[in-house]
Amino acid sequence: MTDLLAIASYLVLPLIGIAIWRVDLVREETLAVRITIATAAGALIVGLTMALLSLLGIQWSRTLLYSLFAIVAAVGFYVRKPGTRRGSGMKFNAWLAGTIFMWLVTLYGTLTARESCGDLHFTWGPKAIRFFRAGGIDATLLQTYIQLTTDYPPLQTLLFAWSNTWSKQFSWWSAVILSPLFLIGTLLLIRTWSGDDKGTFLVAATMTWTFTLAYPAGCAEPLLLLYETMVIAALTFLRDPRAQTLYATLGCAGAAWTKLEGTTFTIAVVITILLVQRNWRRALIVAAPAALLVGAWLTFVLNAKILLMYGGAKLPIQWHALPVVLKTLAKVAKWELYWIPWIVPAVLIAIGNVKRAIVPISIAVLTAGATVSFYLRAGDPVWWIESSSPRVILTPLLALLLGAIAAHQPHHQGQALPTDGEPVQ
Amino acid sequence: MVRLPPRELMRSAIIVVAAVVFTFATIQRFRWLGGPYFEFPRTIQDHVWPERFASADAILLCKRVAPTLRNNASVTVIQPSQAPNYDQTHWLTGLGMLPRQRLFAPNFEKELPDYVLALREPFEHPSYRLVAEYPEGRVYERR
Repeated sequence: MTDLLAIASYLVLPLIGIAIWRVDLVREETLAVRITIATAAGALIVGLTMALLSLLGIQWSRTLLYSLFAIVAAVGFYVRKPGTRRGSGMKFNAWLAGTIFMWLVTLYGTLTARESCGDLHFTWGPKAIRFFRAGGIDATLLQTYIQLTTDYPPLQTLLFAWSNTWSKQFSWWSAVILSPLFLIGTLLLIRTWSGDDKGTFLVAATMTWTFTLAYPAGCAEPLLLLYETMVIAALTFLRDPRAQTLYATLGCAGAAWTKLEGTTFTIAVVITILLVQRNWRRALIVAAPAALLVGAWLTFVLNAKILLMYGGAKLPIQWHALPVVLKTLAKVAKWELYWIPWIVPAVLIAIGNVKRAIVPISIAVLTAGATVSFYLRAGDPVWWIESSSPRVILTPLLALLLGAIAAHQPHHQGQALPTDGEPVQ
Repeated sequence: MVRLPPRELMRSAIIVVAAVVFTFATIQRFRWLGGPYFEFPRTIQDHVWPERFASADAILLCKRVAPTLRNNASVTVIQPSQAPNYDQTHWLTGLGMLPRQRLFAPNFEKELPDYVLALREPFEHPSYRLVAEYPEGRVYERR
């Protein structure tokens, strides 16, 4: 019962974020994509509201949170506008069957505790449980237990605390099941926006294998990958410039509040928009909410004197560690399969239209560079790289996979727009 | 039947071969991690490695003893054979599993918590007495 209630707390996220259906661009999406977008928005609304309550000194309680989010959902339901289309028009085929099979393998791996993240039971979970019991973001807890990666962005922890308000005890299983749930959203966005079942199948197959080595279930990566997919896929596959901006903005805001790497991802996206799309206005719009959220969180972190991981940015780069960092990262990036997960999308990009894949390639390169830069700041990075990088490098890998899809996009479908002007031919 | 252009045919072939490789690798990996394969595990850590992780025992032991420990009692969780460099993750697991107690990092020279949850092996310390024994470990109380 505990697990079911906790899972239910995640399943209501689209209801909490349903107000986004009022936006015409969202209305034009398929029902599945609209639910995914509303889930992403709902997660952000829950996290922001709970954080705001803490900021105002108002303790969370079941009564308060249920009432508040019931009102948010009711208002959202009232203001929403009906969708203009139901399905994507794509037919069921062998590629889609393959994608579903791959997802089921991931679900199996998760449900048999083969992909559980260690950080869940000694970092994310304890933080969420203690926040729930304290009725807010507990600065004292974070000051006491520095091992809890104290200054990490709070969204995932707040979602876990939210689930704890539904179940009497914290549900560890619901936390790991989020991994395949968010993966559905990720695959749905890719399939619908790219219109490419074959490419989606490749992403599903690659994620299925890499998830077994990265152990993302219960960590923040599945949520981060959902937000990142929203950004990269929108900028790569959607033709409408307004849709690109809307989804990139929402995705970057979510990513930046989910993980520290979400901030570097946002920077990579902004650089890409500036250099590849040459659209400074979009870059500003996309960066603003993410910067505001990270700024607000850092203000809290500095006031509470719990600066830890973000403080790493001030550490000098230790260039002498470069060979070790590159060697260890290369070993991890091998994915125990001779780098096949990287080689396949790289080959597909090479035999396709590279220009169309320039946005995801740029993001892949920049986020990979940021990963190297992270690890170059540690004195002895080997253990750190081996334990964390299998999850961290999922971001550049996903970007590369989206590039592999983009490189084979036909003219009439969505494709990368280097500017707001003509699509690349 | 639709004839695919050569480039699209090549793309399909690459994707199919890659997917087959990933699928077999995944199945091999799951087999390597060990069974049982169709049984719901007791903890989220049961099959993350071929050898059972002590963290799985930490989760189960904490769950068992949670109702028996005094509220606000100080507690730590250790695997005694790791002394003096105990695995930090065990007591941090307790931090989540025992929300009514105060959890401490093990440092018996500096501080003696009210309870020590010892995973797998017995814990020998003059200031502690054994109060309960479970398949996953033992509970010691400060004398």
